[in-house]
Amino acid sequence: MAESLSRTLAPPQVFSDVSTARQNWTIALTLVPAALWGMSLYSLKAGIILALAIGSSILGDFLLRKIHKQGTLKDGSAVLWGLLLGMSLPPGAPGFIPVVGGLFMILVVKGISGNLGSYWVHPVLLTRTFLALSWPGFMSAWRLPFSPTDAVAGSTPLMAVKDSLLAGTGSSTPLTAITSHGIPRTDSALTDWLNTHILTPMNITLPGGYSDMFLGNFPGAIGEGSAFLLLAASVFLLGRRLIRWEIPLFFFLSFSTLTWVFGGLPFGLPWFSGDVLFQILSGSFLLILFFVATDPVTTPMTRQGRIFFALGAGVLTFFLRFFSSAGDGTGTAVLLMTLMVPLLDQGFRKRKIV
Amino acid sequence: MTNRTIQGGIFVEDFYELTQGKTCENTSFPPLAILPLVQGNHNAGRWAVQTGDEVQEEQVLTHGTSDGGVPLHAPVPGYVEAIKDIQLPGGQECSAVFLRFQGAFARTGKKSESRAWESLSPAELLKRIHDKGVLVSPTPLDSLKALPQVKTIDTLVVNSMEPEPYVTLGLNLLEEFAPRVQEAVKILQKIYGPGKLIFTADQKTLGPIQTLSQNFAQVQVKNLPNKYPLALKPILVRVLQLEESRSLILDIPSLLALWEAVVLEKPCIERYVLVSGDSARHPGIYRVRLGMPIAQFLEDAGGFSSPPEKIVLGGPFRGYTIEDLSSPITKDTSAILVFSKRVVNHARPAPCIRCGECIDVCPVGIQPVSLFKSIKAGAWEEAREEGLEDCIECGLCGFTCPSRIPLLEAFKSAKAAHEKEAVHG
Repeated sequence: MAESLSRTLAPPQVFSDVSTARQNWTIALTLVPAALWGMSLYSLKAGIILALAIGSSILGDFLLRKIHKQGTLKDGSAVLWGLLLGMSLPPGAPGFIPVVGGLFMILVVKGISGNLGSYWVHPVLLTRTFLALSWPGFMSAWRLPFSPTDAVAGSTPLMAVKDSLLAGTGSSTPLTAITSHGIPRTDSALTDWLNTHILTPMNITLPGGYSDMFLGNFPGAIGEGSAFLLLAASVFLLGRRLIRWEIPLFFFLSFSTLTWVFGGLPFGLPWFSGDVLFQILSGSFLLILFFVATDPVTTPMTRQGRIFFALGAGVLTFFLRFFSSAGDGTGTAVLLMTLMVPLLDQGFRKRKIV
Repeated sequence: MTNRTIQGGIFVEDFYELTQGKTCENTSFPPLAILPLVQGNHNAGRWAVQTGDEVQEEQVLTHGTSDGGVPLHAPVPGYVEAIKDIQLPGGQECSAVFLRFQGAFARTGKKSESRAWESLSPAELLKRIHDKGVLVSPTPLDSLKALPQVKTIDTLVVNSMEPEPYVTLGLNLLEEFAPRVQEAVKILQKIYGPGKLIFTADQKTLGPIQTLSQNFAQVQVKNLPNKYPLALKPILVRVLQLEESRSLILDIPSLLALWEAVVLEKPCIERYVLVSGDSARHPGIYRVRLGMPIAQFLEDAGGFSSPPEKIVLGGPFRGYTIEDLSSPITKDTSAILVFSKRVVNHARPAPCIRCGECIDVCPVGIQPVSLFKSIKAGAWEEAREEGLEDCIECGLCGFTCPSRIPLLEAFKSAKAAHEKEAVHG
């Protein structure tokens, strides 16, 4: 039955051009440039991790189909999730991490629920959490980008900021915290060029560091370093209505507003001086904002529900980033909000018109 | 004027460019006319003829019913070859006359003369319309009814809006036959008395409707957006804030059929059918005799420009795929659409991914996904609470579903099962 096309006699006779499979494949395709950029940042090793994550995810899906006798590789979900998982792993992780992750993601997280559409936590998020709790060392095996010697990096920018805050060393901004932590900054030439040629005539001065953040020139997960490519992909997906606009917009609004108002306080700066740009460009914020938090299966069904979900995720991300012991909190925040989805579906039901 | 629109719905393209400027063309006569007793959900009573009978063009074939069932007339002269059960495209079975065409026409080929109707009383006018087998509907794609009895109607709505994409029948006919439409409205005003007169118009029909409305004293023109399913009766009633039992909503083809019955004293044996869609070689408006097999009609209408993936009776959202092309044209055949694969957008059915697309488009605020779940679980009470009975069967939920879940089909059969249960206890 699952193989037959929608050749029904009954209406409707035509369908919108969006289908579940096309949606998954298109989203996966828009991630490819960011994945390739990740490979150029961290050498071929990143490519192997991505390939292992996708391969094991496809293998898991194949095994699951043998057990469940339903689902199909053609729906694109295994490839999309494998790619997302690979992109959220550190470039220095050993080869078994993506393999265990991919198999766990499909066989356990998707397997328990049965099919596409009935999992109740995002498989990529739960798998990442599982891997981070089981192998914390391997899951923070960061590398310096563009390093021929594959040099080990101590921490990501977010972790560096967190460390400096915990140590109370009192750096004045996130960016100075990074530098004092030994993460090299290489963007002075680019930033200077931008300032002289484009920004100064507009009376703006870009401090050093941001263009590095924007281009991925910092230690991080494979897919985190391509803010510009992720943003370009999101423009395409939003334009084609393949992802919903409510979640990225309100997630971004609540997180950036809180960051702007309160984000400067821990650094001894006044109110309304938080570094929003640094926060959204670092960690997995953009990757999760556009590609994970927008997954329809684990988000509320009504628009009002989705808006509440997104606002809540932004607030939780703010709290986790600024006050928890972990560096990034975006994934955990979304995971926590997912627990509220059944309540939100009840609370924000659409009202019938009588 | 309150500018109320609807929640949900989608803005649609009208595809008027396919039929724009085309004038109505006649098609050939059916060698064997197939005439089902049920014409668009309307029962024409009992057969007045038997197998072997010779009949004249326009001869009455059925006795109508006492509760307003209008008779059916012979579309061509000939003899009754058989009376047997056939299956209609919607799936229901019914008795049908097979009329073999032979002999001479009583009217066709002769000059038609207009008869004066102004001196007739409302009751006489109404009787003439009923006797001529005229059935009317609020849009070209809705089920047909006989005109209601006098004194129950105080609001007359002329609905020129496109009911579904491609189905621009009303607009095409309005551009060609505006004077007849105008006279038909005058006839209705005579029958029902001077009540409220409303013309609905969408973006494309606004021009012709405004010209038409200048011939009436007290008239409102309501210009509504090209948003499906705004033109459908339940939504129109809400948007125009009508009192349903006292309003008569009529489309342009109904008005023309009524005009022919009164002014030409001609029974309903022909109708206008729109052929459109990306696979139709000559999209346009055609004048067809009832009983014409769809295969022959499509051939007359120019056939296909590319291999059709689907031949659809009715609109893209609510119509049915025709499998048996020997099915006849009936009084409610308004549009035959021929679509290629590219337009149909087939996709593999997949599990629900909770995207909520169906919730966003529903014009009556149902959560189709939740309703579907209750029906699948057999929870009738829950299904009712989810709004099973509020569903107006517009088909948008199934259209937008990325997983191609047959939502409308499930709701329709659940409603049918529900009704059966209610009848049997």
